[in-house]
Amino acid sequence: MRWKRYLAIVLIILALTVTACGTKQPEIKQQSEAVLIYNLGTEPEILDPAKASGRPEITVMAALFDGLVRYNEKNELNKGSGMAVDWAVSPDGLRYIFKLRQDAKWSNGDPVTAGDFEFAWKRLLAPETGAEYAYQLFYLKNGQEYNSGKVTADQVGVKALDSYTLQVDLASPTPYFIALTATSNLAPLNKKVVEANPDWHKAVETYVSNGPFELVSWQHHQKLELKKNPNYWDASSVKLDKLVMTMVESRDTELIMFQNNEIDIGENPPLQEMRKLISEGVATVIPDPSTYYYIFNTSKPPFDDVRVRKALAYAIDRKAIVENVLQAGQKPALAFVPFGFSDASAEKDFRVVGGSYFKDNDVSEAKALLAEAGYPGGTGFPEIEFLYNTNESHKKIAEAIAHMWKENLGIKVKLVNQEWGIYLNNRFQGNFQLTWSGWGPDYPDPMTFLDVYVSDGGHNETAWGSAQYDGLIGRAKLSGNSKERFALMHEAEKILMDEMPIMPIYYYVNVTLYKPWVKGVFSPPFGPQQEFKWGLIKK
Amino acid sequence: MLRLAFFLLRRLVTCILAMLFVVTLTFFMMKALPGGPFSKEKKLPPTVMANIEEKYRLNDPIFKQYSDYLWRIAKLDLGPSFRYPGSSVNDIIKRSFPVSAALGAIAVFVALTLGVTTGLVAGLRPCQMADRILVFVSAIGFSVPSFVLAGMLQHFFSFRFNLLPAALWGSPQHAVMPVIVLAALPTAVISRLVRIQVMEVMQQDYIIMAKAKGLPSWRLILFHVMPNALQPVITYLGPLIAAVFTGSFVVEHIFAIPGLGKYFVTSIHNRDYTLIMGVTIFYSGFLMAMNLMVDLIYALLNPQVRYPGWEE
Repeated sequence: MRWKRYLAIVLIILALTVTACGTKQPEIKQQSEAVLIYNLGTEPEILDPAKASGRPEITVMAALFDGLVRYNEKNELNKGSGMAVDWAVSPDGLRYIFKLRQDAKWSNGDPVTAGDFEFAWKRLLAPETGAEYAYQLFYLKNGQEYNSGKVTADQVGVKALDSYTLQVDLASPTPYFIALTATSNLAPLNKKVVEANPDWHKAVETYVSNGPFELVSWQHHQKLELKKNPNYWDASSVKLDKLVMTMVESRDTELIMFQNNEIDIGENPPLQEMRKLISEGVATVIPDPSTYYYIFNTSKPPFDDVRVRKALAYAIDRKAIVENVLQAGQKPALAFVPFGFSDASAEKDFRVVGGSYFKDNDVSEAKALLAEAGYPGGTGFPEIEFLYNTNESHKKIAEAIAHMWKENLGIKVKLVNQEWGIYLNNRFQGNFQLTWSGWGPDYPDPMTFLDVYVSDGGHNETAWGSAQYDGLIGRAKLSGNSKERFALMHEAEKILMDEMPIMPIYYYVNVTLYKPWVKGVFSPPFGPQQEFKWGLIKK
Repeated sequence: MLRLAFFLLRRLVTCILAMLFVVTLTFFMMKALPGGPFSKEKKLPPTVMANIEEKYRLNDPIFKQYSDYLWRIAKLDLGPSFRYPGSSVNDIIKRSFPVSAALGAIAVFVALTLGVTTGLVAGLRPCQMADRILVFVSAIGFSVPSFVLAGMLQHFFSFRFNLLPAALWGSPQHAVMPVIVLAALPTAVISRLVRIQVMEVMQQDYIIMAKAKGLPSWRLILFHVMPNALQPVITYLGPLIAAVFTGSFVVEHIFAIPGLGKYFVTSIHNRDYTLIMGVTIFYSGFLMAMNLMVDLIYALLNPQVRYPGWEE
């Protein structure tokens, strides 16, 4: 009888095992095809362009969709680079008339029309869509009003005059509006397909796009497979037959896969390998127009005193931090707006024109300021608390800075880390003395940085405000004169650096690993992590 | 048979009550956490946030949210994920559990085979060479953290000798390293359990009696030693299967396995409310089912074991 019992056990275990098996085999890569494997690094949250909010999602969208315009390798936006072959702007800067190309088709063969843009933009704004990036279209006349349910869709300032003419009315002049139309949130959607099936973006079978590539498969938390879109208007420029985007999250694993030729492009290698990879030329460093900085809570002592804020900002050695802690070629930040934004004359850089607002590692000046504020040599200065979310990089930077403040000013700092959600909550509610922040552009203009710190700015967590600053930003926003606008922005930035509610530390970089046979793929400063349209494999 | 059915029914009712408790506790603890699924560093404009909260019914009073949720899970609908709005929680579990379970099944099979054999060998001849080596090896299995083991395997098998793909999922080769990592600790635990039990059983009078009667040693081991020595292993098997079949965050992160384990960690980090609830409910249900299975196997192995409501 006993063998029956053994049999029962084996059967139970076997039944469990058998039901659990049965996974799909991966497709084998064919020799003749030009296949590029890129590690996206994470599962995209969604493949609906209206709701793409993170950089990985935007990277996938840029490969699948073509907006009115598309950046080229020189970071230019030319007429005819996307769906728009030409456009005209009214003298007051409020009305744009776009002429669309007539040879553009969706991946299912339908023509791409102005109606598809009108539909997609109104869908992005519609309250029931619940899109996070709806505010990218608050520039449109009645855009914000429609999003908050005050007006109806037909009052929004976007209209298809005919199949290939799109009329756009703005709420106020927006010099960077053309650049905004390059973002994936503003990509067109096939009205017929989307209206017929609101879940079109969830399955590969119903997915329709108008860009260089089309979607072949989506294996969740594994990989996305894209292939060249034969219906793309510029298909002759697309040399890759297939584009695979893997979702390997571990940076150590990614590096092994790169070294084993299992992937062709990877990003952000582990810190301990960074220096070696850069010096060997394996890793490419590209400046990223974003700034890492600390924010002071200016509503509470000791940071309600500008001299204290300045003393702390001057007393750190940014060069030492980027060279010894970060090690990836970041640049010390001595102003808020990073490099990479053009000034009044387009060939000049806003940062170069504005220059630095203070000296790095200016310990003597810092000591003098602290003494002036009543804390000579740090005597009587309370121990301060630096709040951060649990993360190795923030911790290392904070430790270095705490050390410098102790050595240079005699100030003690306690590091307090919290889980991300809890941390954000405390930061938004002003429950902090000192914390970190990072800011990247929503559009390619210094204003995307500077308007953060207006008194009632939604992201201004410093409790700092200046009527003069607000006035300069307000005037710059309404100015139709480019020279005056940039002069006002430089003036505003000077005030911000004189008052120092924020303490710039460094400008970010993107570190990418490209296999030597990968050509034509680049990391543009705005939008996707990598641009694949012109990519090719040369082995 | 009727008694067995009655016993199962009783267990089912207990499970449902326990589940209700788990759901309630998780729901309110989760809601008590600061932050929400849409709080990001770049704060959203208030009108946009209001639209999102309306869409996901996050602006309802909490008890209404709770009762709505209970009503929905009664219909076995776990709702849409907040983080991955393209997928429902049911979809996410449906596509990731088979992967974790397949890996887990192989790992449990490996752990059982290796653990029982080595434990038996060691327990039959304690304090001899083989025993000493096995005790040493199992001490390593106990103490090396899985991420260290995973990194070492990757370094040697993928980077140095290029024998196996470093990560991803799809072919038998992809499963080798994850299975080793997953099986390491359970193998060590099972091996030790079996060793101690075998040593103890071998001292029992009935074994000495059986030996004295001249029973062949294979019969002795298979029918007299094993059934008794395996009982603690079977007790351990319930929670083990529940834990290993539902995936491991570390293994899935390092080897990029599309399994269920990652969601136990990331859903909380993302405040993905429906996904937190979904994986918790799924795990609890699975654990209860495994414990029931263990109880049944236990009774099959040992006729003396009977549970309340199942007395003969």
